[in-house]
Amino acid sequence: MIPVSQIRNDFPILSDKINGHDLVYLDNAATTQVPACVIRYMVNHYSHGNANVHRGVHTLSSHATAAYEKARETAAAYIGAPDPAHVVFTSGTTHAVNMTAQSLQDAVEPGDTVAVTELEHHSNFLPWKRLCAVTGAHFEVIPCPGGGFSMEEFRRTLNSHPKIVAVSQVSNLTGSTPPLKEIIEAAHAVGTRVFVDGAQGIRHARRDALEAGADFYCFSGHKILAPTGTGVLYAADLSTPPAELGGGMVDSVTADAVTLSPAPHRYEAGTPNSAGAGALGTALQYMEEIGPEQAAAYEKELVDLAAALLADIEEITILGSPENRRGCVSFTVESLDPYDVAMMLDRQGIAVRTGHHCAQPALTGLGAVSAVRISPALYNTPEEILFTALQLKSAIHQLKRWSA
Amino acid sequence: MSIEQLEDTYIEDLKTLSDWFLQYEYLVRLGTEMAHMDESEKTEANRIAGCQTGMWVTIRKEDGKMRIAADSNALLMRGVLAILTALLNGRTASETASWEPRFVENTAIGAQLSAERSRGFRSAVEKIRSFALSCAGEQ
Repeated sequence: MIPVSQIRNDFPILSDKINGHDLVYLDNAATTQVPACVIRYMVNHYSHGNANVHRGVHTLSSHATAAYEKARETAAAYIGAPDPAHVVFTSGTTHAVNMTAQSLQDAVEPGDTVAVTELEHHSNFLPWKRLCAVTGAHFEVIPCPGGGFSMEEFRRTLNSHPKIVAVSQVSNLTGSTPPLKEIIEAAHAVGTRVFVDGAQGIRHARRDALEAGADFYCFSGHKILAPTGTGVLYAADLSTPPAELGGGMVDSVTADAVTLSPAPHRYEAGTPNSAGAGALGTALQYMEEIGPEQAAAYEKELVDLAAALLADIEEITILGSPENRRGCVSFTVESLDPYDVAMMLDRQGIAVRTGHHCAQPALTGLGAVSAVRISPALYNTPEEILFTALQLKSAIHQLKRWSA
Repeated sequence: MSIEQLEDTYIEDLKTLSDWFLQYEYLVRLGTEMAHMDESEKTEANRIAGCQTGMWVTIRKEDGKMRIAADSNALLMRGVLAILTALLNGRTASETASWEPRFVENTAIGAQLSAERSRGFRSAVEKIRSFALSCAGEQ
């Protein structure tokens, strides 16, 4: 991989000071930072390339349309989609899950089962719960004992032949990685479709979901160096009706009849975030230059280092013990609230996540209500991880001394 | 001493402590000295909504005075609540209802509380004030 010192130079925010200290940004599972090339893309788009896409014959609109469709090709290639027609731009993972769940309303009937795992974050939980409420289907939550995926529990759920199961590629809480190939094979064998949420997984195994045969796959741009409000939904089957209606997704409209545009445009009602899509394409190209597999391996080294250092701190309990940890490590601190710990770290310029991580059912399953989460990315260094572990030890010590 | 005068002493203390480390220590120590609320009182009804890790406030009127207890899992928040209860406990309903808190916004605490915690604190104050207002209305 390109030396991390060189990568860091590409991210303007990393040279900022926070509370008088160098920023140590370890909240990448929430959002990643944006490289200069992506920022430049946005500036350039609005300075010289802005127009509505697929709408006008004028030069600027053609340029904007070409840039938008080029980004789609980049995204398709990035996740291994054979045809860009299956790649829909969304505002992010939450949008993608809601869109999909809504579009399946006619395919799900009373008495059917829709299943999610206990580890799902709220975005890949609530839309499926609502789909069940609307259709009268049964909503099943697959238990994940100890914060890890259980193939045994999964197979038990498959006995009821669910219409669809939703599973995260990487848990945003425990960093566990369900065996997608096995899951999808078993599901397809009983006619169950699989929705894979790649919000946390995209930086770690970009092509695994499609290679394994996922029916749907989505990710958010802002978790892979792109701006917020961008994302991708891949759908294998293009016969699913669009969830959203509006301009840009129809070929002809009369009071009596509507002819839908071909995919993917039929799934993109309204003016799309073309600036964002182009910026997402730029971010993915940047990742291609770094080497996504090398970056993922480096990120794994960092998160494993963090987990090892945390395991050595007596007061800390790590949530879950995944075999192949990716992306993050979450933990609780004996007799201390995560909030207090994170506030102490913040004063040293260290950004970590605290709270329920939008995954309350999963946290409850692990016997916690709130946790601290460390999630490194490709621009972090082992030194930052060491510094954070040291500061954490010192914060715990201070808080204990003050409250004794 | 009025609520405002007592509040000035806390503001003075916090302003004397020049860095965040000393301010944190001050708040954590105040929080540690505050009695814990009985577990049976940590009910949903007493919970301040929107605070992830839990924050509870109970208020009742006894012999014409406000009796306020508060608790949180977070040490820093307990420090803030310790000041709040020290200021308002044993006051009359009308004194409490007309009080405008300054010790968070006018000191470094304001910048140190996350947006979520600040909302939690304001909700706690609102809860106490509306109770005080309804009591003052009865008088």
